[in-house]
Amino acid sequence: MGAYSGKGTQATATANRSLIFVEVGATVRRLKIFDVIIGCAIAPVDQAAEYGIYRATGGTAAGTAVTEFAFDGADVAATAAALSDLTTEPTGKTDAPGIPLNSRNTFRWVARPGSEIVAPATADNGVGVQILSTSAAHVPICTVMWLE
Amino acid sequence: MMSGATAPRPAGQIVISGPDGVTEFDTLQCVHCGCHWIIKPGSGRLRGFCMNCAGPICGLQGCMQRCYPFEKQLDDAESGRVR
Repeated sequence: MGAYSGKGTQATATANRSLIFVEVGATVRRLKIFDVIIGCAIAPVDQAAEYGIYRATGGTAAGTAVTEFAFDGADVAATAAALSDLTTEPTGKTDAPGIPLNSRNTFRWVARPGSEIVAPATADNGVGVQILSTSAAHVPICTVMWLE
Repeated sequence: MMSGATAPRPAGQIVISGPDGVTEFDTLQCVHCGCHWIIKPGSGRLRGFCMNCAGPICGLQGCMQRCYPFEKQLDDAESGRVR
């Protein structure tokens, strides 16, 4: 099982737009998200935003392809595909409870081994991070780490 | 640093850092839907514990009404038997 990370952002920071979406690739393997970091990519100001981590079942997502980073250089490339700055959202989203965050703060969630957020080994299923609401336009940035 | 260590065996940890310092929270994971939540003693939120799965339940109606373990949900999704 290899560990990988990908970084995403969202240029159009409005509601229901994803920063990053990691989806099961053609070689189907379960994705286990164990670390999520959310911050601000520009000089932050006092403004509120709410983010959400979601599971999705659809494969219609479109965005900028992310180059995944393998934690172990000896591992093969990730089978999952990661998209950033999504322009078309995946379908079948199921949201986890929202994460309210002032843009001056950085949020990090780390799962204990065995308690990761899991996407089933079914093509096009995946896990993403999206903006649920924001008080003003800004440029959030997000790093997701996963096992597969 | 404010620490919210509230569970002997948390399923995860949240760290929020900013100009006002660092705040930490423990999270638990629902054995039925797999979601995580921050433990807030005295919040009044109704949670549960599944005696079959031997783990905490988030309190959502679908998770409280029947035992459908998350691992079983993954297996069903992968085999196309989504209930």
